[in-house]
Amino acid sequence: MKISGKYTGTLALCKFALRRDRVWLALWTIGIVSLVVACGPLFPEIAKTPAELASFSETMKNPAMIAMTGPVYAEPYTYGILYAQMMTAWILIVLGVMNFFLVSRHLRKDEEEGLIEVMRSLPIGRSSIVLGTAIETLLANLAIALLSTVGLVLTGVESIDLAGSLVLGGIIFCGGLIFTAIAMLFSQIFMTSRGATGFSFAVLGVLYALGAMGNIEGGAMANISLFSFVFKTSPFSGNYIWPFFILLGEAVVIGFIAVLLNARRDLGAGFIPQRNGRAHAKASLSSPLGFALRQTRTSNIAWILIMLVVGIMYGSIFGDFENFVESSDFFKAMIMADVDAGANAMLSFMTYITLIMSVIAAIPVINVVYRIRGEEKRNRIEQIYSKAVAKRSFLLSYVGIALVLSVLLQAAEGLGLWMSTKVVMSEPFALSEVLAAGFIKLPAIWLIAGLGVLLLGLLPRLTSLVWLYLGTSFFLLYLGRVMDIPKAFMDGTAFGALPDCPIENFAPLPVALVTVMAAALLAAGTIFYSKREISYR
Amino acid sequence: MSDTIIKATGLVKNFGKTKALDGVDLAVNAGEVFGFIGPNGAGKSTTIRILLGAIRANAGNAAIFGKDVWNDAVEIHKRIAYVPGDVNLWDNLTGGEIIDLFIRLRRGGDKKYKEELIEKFDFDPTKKAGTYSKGNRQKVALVSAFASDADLYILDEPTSGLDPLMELVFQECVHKVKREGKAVLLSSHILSEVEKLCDRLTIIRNGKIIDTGTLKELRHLSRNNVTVETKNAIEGIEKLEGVFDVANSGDEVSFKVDAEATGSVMKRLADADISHITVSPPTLEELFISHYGVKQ
Ligand SMILES: Nc1ncnc2c1ncn2[C@@H]1O[C@H](COP(=O)(O)OP(=O)(O)OP(=O)(O)O)[C@@H](O)[C@H]1O
Ligand SMILES: [Mg+2]
Repeated sequence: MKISGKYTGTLALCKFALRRDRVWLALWTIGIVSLVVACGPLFPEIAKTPAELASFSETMKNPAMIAMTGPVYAEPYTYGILYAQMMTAWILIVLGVMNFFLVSRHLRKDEEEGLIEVMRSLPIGRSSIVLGTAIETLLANLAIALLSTVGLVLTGVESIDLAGSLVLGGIIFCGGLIFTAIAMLFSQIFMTSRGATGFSFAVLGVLYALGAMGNIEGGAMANISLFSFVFKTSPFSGNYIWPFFILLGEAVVIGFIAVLLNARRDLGAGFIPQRNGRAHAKASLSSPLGFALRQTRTSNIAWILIMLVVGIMYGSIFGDFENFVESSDFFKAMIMADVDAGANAMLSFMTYITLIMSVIAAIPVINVVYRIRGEEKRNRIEQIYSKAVAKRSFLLSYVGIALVLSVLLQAAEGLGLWMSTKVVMSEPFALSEVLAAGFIKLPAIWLIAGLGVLLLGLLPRLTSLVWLYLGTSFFLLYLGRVMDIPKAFMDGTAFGALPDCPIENFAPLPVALVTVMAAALLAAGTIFYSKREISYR
Repeated sequence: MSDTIIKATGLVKNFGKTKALDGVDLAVNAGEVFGFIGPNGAGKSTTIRILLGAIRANAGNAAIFGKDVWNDAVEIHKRIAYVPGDVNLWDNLTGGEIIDLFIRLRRGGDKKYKEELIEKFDFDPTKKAGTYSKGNRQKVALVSAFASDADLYILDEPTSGLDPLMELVFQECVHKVKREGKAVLLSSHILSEVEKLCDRLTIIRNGKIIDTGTLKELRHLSRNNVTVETKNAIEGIEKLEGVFDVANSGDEVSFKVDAEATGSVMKRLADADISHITVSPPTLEELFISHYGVKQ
């Protein structure tokens, strides 16, 4: 050992971490870079001519769009500006997720599993692990930024030039570093990786919300969150680099605080210790159903709120419907068939959007059912079944919650959409129309839940097949019309088989058919599940 | 030894090509602590999982309280308390909440005794389970098991994470339920624990029961340790039938002797005029080793 300082062994640790994470990092890098690059050529598709592009800029000045993604920060409007405005926020969010997981994995998870104890007993400096992780994430973010820049330039889209792509790469790099620093800080403050990632995500949410406000308000407000501040660089237009110095400065300061805190705290401790909870269970926690409700409560509420917000956001589009839909071939193609058949364009679009939201609503519903599989995989289920609990009643508790949740989710997205259309439209939809569009798709969600239960009972190792089915349905329903896929394929999915109320009339036969199939799948799955063994790892 | 609580015959369990159990018989009576010992991978947990109705035997019968372990699992579990060796819990619930939940899911328990146990095990029930150490997670299962009103306690290596002090508390608990006439099935490879607690025991290896009986009976089958000092030299003792591992150290001679041969060997020793002798039964370790050593 040449240097016996606080940072001894940092580079060796960093190399080790890079080796350990190579597959994980490669997948994330490929994922993010392909998101960045693949979306580039989409924009000339959305607005084909300069005139369309100009009119699209009006659409993009809609407050809902500005809040969700970003402002029209420069004019004349170009594909580059459109790209940066639409994509930056999403890229930053994905980047945040990656950095949070990566950092808390090294700084908190390893410690929980006692790995850091082993490492610290080696000749390694006190701060080396933190610094090594910081260098690893720095390299990862740099790689993603560079590859994205190169990829964007190679798309050859008009006005997506080298200078602007470099600035966008700079945003990726600086944003990634700020997220790393945030996660590093919370890894020191909280005792568990759950606490650290949880709080990091909360901060991401707050930054996003502040960014939405900053994007709308402008001025000083826009300087607070990086989600609005990054537009000061004006990619593909002004290409200013001074904001990068500020962003880098912030990352360094936060990271430095994290390193200081790390050196001062004990192994296994945090600055905010885990909160203590109750010594006795509430009366509600005394049955399988009570337990299932408690375990799914947080995510159920979160998903209901998410669907409400998604509904509100989609609803706000209707304020500028003409521009939004008519200026885009993509959206036009989606509803053309219905409009040609004599349906009202707005109503068609609402029906179509609700269909897509219904497919999304199936995700949390399946997740509730699959909690049971999670309990089994983590070897916790024998804790339950060694008590006087029948497999059937445990399973049906989760299934019951899933079914009720499906109704609440459809109601939430419908209400959200209806509320915002009521504000932005001169002749808003009737609440019954909006709710009908969502509720008519419920049997399809139940069918997918039934498929999940069947897999759980019959092929527990292949439960992820249901995601394949849902993914295919989503693809067919979302892009099928644009890509001219024969209608029969779409109708073959449970969602497509059901009538598209309110633009189509209620048809009892398909509704009854899908509902009966859902019930049959649920029943069969429940029987198989009650008869099968617990699988142990 | 009246009521048979657990009765299993000819249990067979295959996991793909591995034969985890190959004809296991087990009988546990009310009021007894029954030890279930064997090396890693012998099939202890597999047997217990069959008894709990978590997995299904490929052949054989198993009944608890006279009911079928697979078909009547829920009925049986109302009167059973189970502690696994590896206790996995829910990070978002506190230890106290989980203890209460377990007792309620088992339908009934003693609230006051629960508090007493929490105290005795020196356990903090207000912490989230995610922060508990292995031993503390085991305490959650132990407290909820002993606080519930069961007739059979199935304990699968329940003390692998406990410190010696807590092991004493555990032994106290086992004695208490035994006094109350309950049955206990205790799987373990901590032999001293089995020695201290169990009335009868069974040894399992490679999915087969290789011996069952009281500790005394099992010891009978194997060799006593003898250390002896005699006035006159004893000669040719190693040539006697049933004598093994003879070692001389100064005036002392030590050897092992088969139970049946002990009498004749003693006569021979008496002739040599004994000045000092110790005879000790084999420890469980030696039992274990002799069983495995012979058959390996
Ligand atoms: N779910 C399973 N799938 C495949 N093989 C299994 C499974 N469960 C147990 N086995 C195998 O069955 C055999 C018996 O395992 P078991 O867990 O019953 O042993 P044990 O006596 O409890 O051992 P230990 O003392 O290590 O707990 C082992 O060879 C094990 O690998
Ligand atoms: Mg075991």
